[in-house]
Parts: sequence; C-alpha cells; structure tokens
Amino acid sequence: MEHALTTNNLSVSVGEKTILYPTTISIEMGEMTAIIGANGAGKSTFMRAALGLIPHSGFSSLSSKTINERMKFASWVSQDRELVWDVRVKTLLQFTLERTLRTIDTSFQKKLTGINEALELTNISQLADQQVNSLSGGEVTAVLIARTLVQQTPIIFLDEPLASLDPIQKIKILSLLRSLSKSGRTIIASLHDIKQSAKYFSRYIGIKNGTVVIDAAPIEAINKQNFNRVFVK
Amino acid sequence: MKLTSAKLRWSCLILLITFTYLSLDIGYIDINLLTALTSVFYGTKSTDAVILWELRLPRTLMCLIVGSGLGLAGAALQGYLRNPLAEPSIVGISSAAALGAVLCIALGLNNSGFFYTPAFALAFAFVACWTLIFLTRQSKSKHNVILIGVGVSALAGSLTTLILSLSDNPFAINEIVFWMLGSVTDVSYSHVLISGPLVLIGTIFLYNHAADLDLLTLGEETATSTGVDINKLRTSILIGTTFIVGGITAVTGIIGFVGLVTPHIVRPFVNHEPKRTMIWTPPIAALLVLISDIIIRTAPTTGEIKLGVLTALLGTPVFLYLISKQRS
Amino acid sequence: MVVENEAKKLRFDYKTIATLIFLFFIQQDQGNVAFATVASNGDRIVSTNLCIDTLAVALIGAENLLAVSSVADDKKYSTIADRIKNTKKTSFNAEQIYSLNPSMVLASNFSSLKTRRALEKLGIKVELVEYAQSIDDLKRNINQMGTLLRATEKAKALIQKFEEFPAPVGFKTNRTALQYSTNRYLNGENSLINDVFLRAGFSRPQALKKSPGGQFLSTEIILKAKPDLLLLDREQNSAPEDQNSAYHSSIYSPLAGLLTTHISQKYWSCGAPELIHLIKALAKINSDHETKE
Repeated sequence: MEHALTTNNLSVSVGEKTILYPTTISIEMGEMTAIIGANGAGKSTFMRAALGLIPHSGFSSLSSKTINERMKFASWVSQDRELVWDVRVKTLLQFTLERTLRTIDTSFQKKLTGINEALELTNISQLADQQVNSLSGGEVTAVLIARTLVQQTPIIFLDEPLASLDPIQKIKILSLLRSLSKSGRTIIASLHDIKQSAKYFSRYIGIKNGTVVIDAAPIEAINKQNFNRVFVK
Repeated sequence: MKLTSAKLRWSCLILLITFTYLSLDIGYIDINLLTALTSVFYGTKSTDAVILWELRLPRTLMCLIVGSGLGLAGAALQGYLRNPLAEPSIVGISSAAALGAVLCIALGLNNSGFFYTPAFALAFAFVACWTLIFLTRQSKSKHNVILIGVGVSALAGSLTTLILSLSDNPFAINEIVFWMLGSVTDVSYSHVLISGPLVLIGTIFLYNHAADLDLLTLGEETATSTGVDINKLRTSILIGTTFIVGGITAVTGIIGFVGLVTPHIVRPFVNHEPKRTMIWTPPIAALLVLISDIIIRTAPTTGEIKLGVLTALLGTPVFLYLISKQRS
Repeated sequence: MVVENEAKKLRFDYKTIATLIFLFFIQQDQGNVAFATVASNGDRIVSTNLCIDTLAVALIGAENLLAVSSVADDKKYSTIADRIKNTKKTSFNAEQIYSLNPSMVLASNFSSLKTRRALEKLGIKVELVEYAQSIDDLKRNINQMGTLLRATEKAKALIQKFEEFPAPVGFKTNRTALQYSTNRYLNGENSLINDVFLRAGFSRPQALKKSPGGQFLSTEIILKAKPDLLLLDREQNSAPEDQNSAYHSSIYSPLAGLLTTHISQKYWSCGAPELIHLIKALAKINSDHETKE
C-alpha cells in the first residue's frame, strides 16, 4: 500500500458537540509524524478515529478494514496503562505473538520479530521476567512498543507516549522511535512536548479545537506564529 | 510453582480422582463400595448398589458439573470485566434464574412436570442476558456491564422477595427459601442430563474466547487494535455464562462463591494469565464443591447445611488468606 | 380508679385462662412407648413431616412406625417428642429413607420434589398428605391416613370428636379473636387457627377480614382491631410477666384493653387430633366470659 493512512472528511461528534471536524489527511509509509496540540484539542480523538477504535463519520483507510485485517497493518500504544493482572513482560508479548501467528499469513512475511528480538530492539531484554506492574513509566512504554513489534505491523500509533516521563526517559523513547522509523516502520504519535521531539519527527500535524491548523515540517511548525495558532486560544 | 509442570498436573488429577471416589463412598449411610460396584456385573441389585448408582453417582456428577461450570464462568467473567470481584451472580443471571424457579414453585407448576422449573429458570436467565446485551451494546465501558448487572440482580432479587411475601403458605415459603440456598441432594440422572449439556454449550462459548481475554489485559483499546471484536466478545461471554449459570441454577438453586474464589486460588499458579486461569479453575472448583458436599453429607446436624453456605465457609478463608498474602 | 380495677380484672383473667388451657392440654393420654418399629400388620411406615408424624402416632402409635421426621424429637416444636423417644428419626433424603426399606413413605405436598422423585425411581411409594388449612382439611387428612395406615376405625373415632364443634353457619355477632406471632405474622382467614377460633365461637375482627392469606402486621393494627381474645406465642420457659415477652409492651397495656393468652405454637400449627382440646378450651373461655357479663 502506498499510503500508511488516508482519511477523507473524518469527523467525530458526541451528541450535539463536534470533537473532530471533517479532516482529510494522508500519511505516507515510513514517515514519522507527530500529532500536536493542546489538551483536549482532539489529537487522541483523531488517532482513535483513524484507527477505528471509536465511532466516527467519514472515511479512514485503516478503520474501513475488518478488525483482523487492520491488526496486520497498524498497532496501538495506549496512554491508558491499566493492567489488572500482574503478568510478566514476556507473557504480555506472548499473548500478542500467539494472536499474530494465528491471523498473519506467514508464508509471505520475511522473518518475524520474536519476543526476544522485540525486547532487544527496545533495549529492555533485562526486564523480560519482571512483572509489568513493577516497572517505571518509561519502561512500561518500552514494553508496549515491544508489543507492537511482536504484532509485526508496519504502522505504529502511539497515544501520548511521552506523558509523565522524565527528560532522560523521553529521549530514550524518542531515540527508539527514530530507530524503528529508520528500519522502515511508520510512526504516528500524539505529543505535547514539541521542542524536544522536533529533531526526531519529519512532520507535525497541529490540531486545535478539532481542526487541523498546521501540517508542516517541525522547523516550520514551531515558529512563534504557528505555535500560537496551535496552542494559544 | 508452575502448574504446567507434569508433577502438578498429575496431582490435580489424582486429587480429583480421590475425591470423586470419596464422594461415592461417603454418604448419609455406610455402603460397601466394592460390592456395590461389582453387584452390577452379577446382575443382583443390592441396596448398596442402588444407592451408589441411583443416588451417589448422579450427585457426584452434579458436583463436578456445578464446580467446573461455576468456576469457569467466574474465571471468564473476571477475565472479561478485568475485575477480581466479578462472579456469575454479579451480572444478575443467577438471581434471574432463581426468580424463574421461585415463580414456578410459587405457581405450583413444579408439581405438574419435571421440566417446568429448569425451563422457567433458563428462560428468566436468558431474559437477563438479553437485557444486559441490549443495554450495553452502545457503551464501551466494562463498568456498564457490572452496573447494569447489579441492577438486574437487584430487580430479580426484589421480585423474588415479593413472591415470597405474597405467598400465604409458610411451607411454600420454606421450600422456596431452602431451594434458593443451593443443594445437590437427591439429584437424578435427569437433572444431570439437563445441566450437563447446557454447561457444555456455555463452556464452548467461553473457551472460544479464552485467548481474547489474554489480549484484554491491556484494556479494550489495545485489545481492539490486536484484533479482538469487543462486542462479539461481550455477547459470547454473557451468553456462555447464561448457559452455564442458568443450567446449574435451574437444578440446584444458587451456589455462590465458587466462581468468585476459585480463580483467585488458581491465579498465583498460572502467573495471573486469564486464559490459563480459565483452564485450571474448573478442576479446582470441582474439587471445592466435591469437598463441600462430602462434608455436608457427613456433618452430624439435624438440618442439612446447604451447599451454597459451605462453599462460602470453605472458600472465604482461603480467599482472604491469598488476598492478604498478595498485598504484603 | 376505674382504670386500676380494669387492670386488676384483666390480670386475673389472664392467669385463669392460661391455667385453664394448660389443664386441658395435659388431659392428653400418653401412648405406650415400645421398641418395635415394624407395624404389627407388617407395614413399614416412614413419616417425614411433623404434622403427619403427629397424626400417624395418634392413629397407630409410635411403636408401629418405622421412622418419623427428625424434628419430631424437638420439644420446642413437637407435641409427640416423648412418645417417639425410641422411634428411628430420619431426614427427608432418599439415601436414608431407602436404606430403611419402607413399604410406604408419608410426605407433605411441600416436601422436596427432588427427593420424592428419587424415591419413586427407587420403587418406593410416596403418599402425599396435604398441609391442613382448616378443620375440614384435617378431617380429610385423618380419613386419608386412616385408609393408608389401615386404621379406619381409629380415624373415624378421631373425626367424630370434631363433630362436637361444627363449622359455624351464618354470621353472628360474637366475640372476636386473633392469633399473633412473635415475628409479627398474623394467620389469615384460610388458616387452621382461624378455623379453630370460628368453631370455638369466635369470629375474626371486621377490620382484618379481608386477607385470606397471612400477613406481617404491626402491633398498631392489632391494637386497632381490638380482638376480644389475642392468642400469642409462648416462648420456651418465659412468661410475659417476667419481661421476657417478645411482644411489644403495648399489647399488655390496660389501656389497650386486650385479653391475651400465651400458647405455644406447637399445639395448633399442625392439624393434629389435639386441636380438639384447644377448641374446647377456647369455647370455655367464650362461655365463661358470657356468664361473667
């Protein structure tokens, strides 16, 4: 497929209120795109609608696929870190790998990313046997990213992956995302912190009050004028 | 300790065999198990043989069905609702089944035919199930299932109490109340043939989605992105639970705690994995019910302790111990 | 002054009534207690309900019963506890009953259906004796059991005793009576105790006529209905004078003006031949009060 994601007048309303206005966007394969905006601007809503996790109007190339088809193309790193069952890191990845092996057509795939490889790529091999609940925020984010690798998807969506991480952890995750992008994966992440991430992403899509107000390279996007357009009322 | 090791698998099997044997051997009166077993082959029917084959065997089978069914339903519900306090009665299905049976008894229909009480119980269980599915189809939140389930349970419970209070007959009230407390006394093969297939159907529904429950560990959004159809999952879990709980409650009344406590006993041994919990809970729950029933038969009391009471008395201390151990 | 005299009068009356009724009850004859459990005619009868036990013992005696229900042993509920001391007791479950090898099992229509079916499957005849809600029901039960237990003569004799107190015909303005339990349960018009009252010449207070079934009522309603006689429960060994009564104190208040008497439920909750004594005692109270006035 040429595009990683194509949307056409994608919009989300809850009752009378419109949270996301009709948005038409196209993201290429291999791009590292960040969705930026203030709290409640509609970043997460856009990503969820694009992936078909919430009901929406309009078209999204990923959402229009069936659930089983979609899981082969795009995976999701949630901001919500609920984990009721105190499982180990390895086990969490095991769940996804088993599911992937059942749906994926392995004959055409190149070598699959196994659990150990996914842990290596995300630099958390040493955490393999630890309970997920005992890990720090940054480590959990790495685990969730490792999970998406085991899902073997070319596209990875991340919902506020840098939230509540300290600066060092942030850089670690950003570097990880860049290396994944370099190896051919498409990264789409929603962010608050735009200055630090500017070096890593190739495109910033800024959303304000449910509308896309900026769609440009980071350097352009974070000049003062555009910053105000995105973040200031 | 991993239950996957052959040693522990075998000990679970041995315990089950042992207690099944004990369940056949122990009862209100002493029988000679050996002669009872062999007399069948000689064609002679001694009293012991009749007791064994007509009374103890169906009762033991019923215990196994009740335990494994309620245990599985409990594990599945806890896995789906991601709530360690969930059990079959929280979604209101056992209360609805009980309401159906109580209505049947109060109307006197249970004397008209053998199938009336189970039919009523199952019908009401499915009404509750349909209500749950219908009222939660739009919502994404797992809390809605619990909240609506609590509502259904409360409604069924109050209707049952209403029936009880409108009954002018103290004996009917007595019968209803004791029925509701749960018992496998004097069940026959007909009861086993009613509950067994229904529990089996429910089991198939639930095991079909065991792997989905693993994927649900990180929440519904992540699960959806990994290919889990949440709506189908919810419907299957509710329908499966209804078959199991309806099929069991229709015959035995309400037996609580088995579905709540057993998954907690199993979880430390299976690394808290939902699917493996669903696999190992049924045999352990069956053991719990067998042991409870054996105690009931041997307890020297004039009135018979009800099964639901004893499973609570036995299960709760184990449950509390495990919870406190995990906290510290 | 007037109130005090009233109070004195009431207390005297209460004691008299209690004594009278008690005297009537100890008139019951004591059956002989033997050990044999198979009936002399070879019947092996197992009775599984206290009310049925009581009738069976009255008809053929404890010595001819194979087993009775386990609650028959409990003096709190059973009037035949002494007489069945040496009789086997059984709970209502198929295993125990089957192992006794009975020729007939007597059970209430409200007994566990599962156990009844299990017994039938094992080839044991289960005869249902329906719970009596009137003296006519009781007579029918005595008749039925007389036939089942092959004691038709005795049955006829027992039934005959009740003919002395026929069901009243037509409406008369007579004294009213009610029975009120400690758990606030009032038996309805279609109840055995109500029929006992009717035959003793008491009627039901107008205000409470509406309910055929029993109900739970507050003390207020009882006070308002002002029955001429209020029949209350008698707990183990406590008497209301020593403040052990489970009833609200207003029931005993002179201002309420109620005539109360305490009789243990075991004497009237079952349809048993002893009921005749209660009817006699109540009828006597009725006639005594008439002559007083």
